[in-house]
Amino acid sequence: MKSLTVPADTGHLDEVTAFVDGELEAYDCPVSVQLQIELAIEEIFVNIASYAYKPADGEAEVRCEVLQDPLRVVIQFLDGGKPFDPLAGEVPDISRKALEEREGGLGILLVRKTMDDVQYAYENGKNILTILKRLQEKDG
Amino acid sequence: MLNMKLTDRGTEGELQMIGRLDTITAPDAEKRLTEAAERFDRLILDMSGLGYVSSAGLRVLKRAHVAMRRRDGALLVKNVSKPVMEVLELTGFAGMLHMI
Repeated sequence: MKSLTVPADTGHLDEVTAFVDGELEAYDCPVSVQLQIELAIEEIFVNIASYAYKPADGEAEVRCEVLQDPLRVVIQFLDGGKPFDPLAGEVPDISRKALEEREGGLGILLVRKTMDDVQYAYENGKNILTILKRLQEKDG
Repeated sequence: MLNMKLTDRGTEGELQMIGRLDTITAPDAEKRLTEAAERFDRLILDMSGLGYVSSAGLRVLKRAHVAMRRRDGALLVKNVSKPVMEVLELTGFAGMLHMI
């Protein structure tokens, strides 16, 4: 698995996205799938940058691997911040009224809805969020 | 990158959004949308050139929508691209925003 470690700061989001894009480059991945992966990376990395170490600074590691049969990418996000399971919360209410009154929770909702699998673990003092996405559209 | 072009038609304004509405561009977009939401009774967002939106961008859209409603104005959205529509649909925003 290839790995990239960057400061957990939103200024490094482009670097993380470019790292994963580079790993996917050789595969003929539909643009719609690429955009979903890019979105998942933004939501997860920005969450780490915004909350994991607050108010201190820290690093985030991103690991990426493409697997065959079926063609899929596995991306892991590791941080040494406060233990936090983003999948533990309730699925947010997205009725019109609730959306107008409340904020938050939509980023992880988008990750759950667009990725094929999302798993959280806390190991050796690290939060590990693993996402899996098939690189070919299901009906294709 | 996000470019925003405003067309002023008196009580109605149209903001053309070109690029991406994400964590990086959201603060500037929020400033422009807040200004426009205070100035016009009807604010139209033309999203034909918007190819990407994340939850940070949704927050900006939601705040503008609520601000317009509070003062009996209307935020209207048009020409939404396919990838942006997918995000609006998955998050319930397609049901909250007024599409024209």
